[in-house]
Amino acid sequence: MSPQGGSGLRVIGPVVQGGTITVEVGSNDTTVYVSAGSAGETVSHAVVPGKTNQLPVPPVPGGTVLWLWVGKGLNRRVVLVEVLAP
Amino acid sequence: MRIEPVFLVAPRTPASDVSRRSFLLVGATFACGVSFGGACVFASGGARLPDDALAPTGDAELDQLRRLAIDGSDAQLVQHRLLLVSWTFSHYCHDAALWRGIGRLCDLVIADAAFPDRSRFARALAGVIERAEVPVAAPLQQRAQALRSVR
Repeated sequence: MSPQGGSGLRVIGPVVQGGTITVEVGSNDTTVYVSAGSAGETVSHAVVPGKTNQLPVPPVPGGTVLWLWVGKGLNRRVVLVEVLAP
Repeated sequence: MRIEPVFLVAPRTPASDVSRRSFLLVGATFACGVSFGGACVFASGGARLPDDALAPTGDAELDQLRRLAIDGSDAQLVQHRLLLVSWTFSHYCHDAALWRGIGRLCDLVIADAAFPDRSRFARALAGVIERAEVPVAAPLQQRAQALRSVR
């Protein structure tokens, strides 16, 4: 699977239920937000800037599309990624 | 000199033009107009916006997103779709103007086969709408099924 996202945030490889999300973040980003699409289902993860990081996949059904983002204000960069059933 | 009594009779007034039939006709026309207009607003996915929907709020980000949602062109809306939707559910889920923009995005992604990343975005949008527990998003609930069938 090709990386999804552009400058600042990229998801590498498939995202499988119960697995991890591999993300590459920009050099200024220290937090990645992962959400199933509501404020109550949004989790923030501290990450190492400029590196590849592993984030846990939230407990959602297969087929759910997750929203991942980094950045502040309207400079937020957002990526969509689908959770695959194992 | 003798004064003769004079009896003045008021002229007979014609029957009023406002008959019961015309009253009912006007009433029925008004009722049809209201229901048709309401159905159009409902179908367009928008809750009624207040007159000051674009008035400055003191929150520069919200103001900018509102302008995009209501006054932005379709191309601008599509370009910034991820920003608009993610900000709406993460910070401004009670804002009717932003949900109006999401309603516009629903129309665009359903109608346009060339919409970027169409299938994934449609399913992501359906998830956001289904999870929204705010009255202002209720008119969009019926679109979720159509969004999930987008391929």
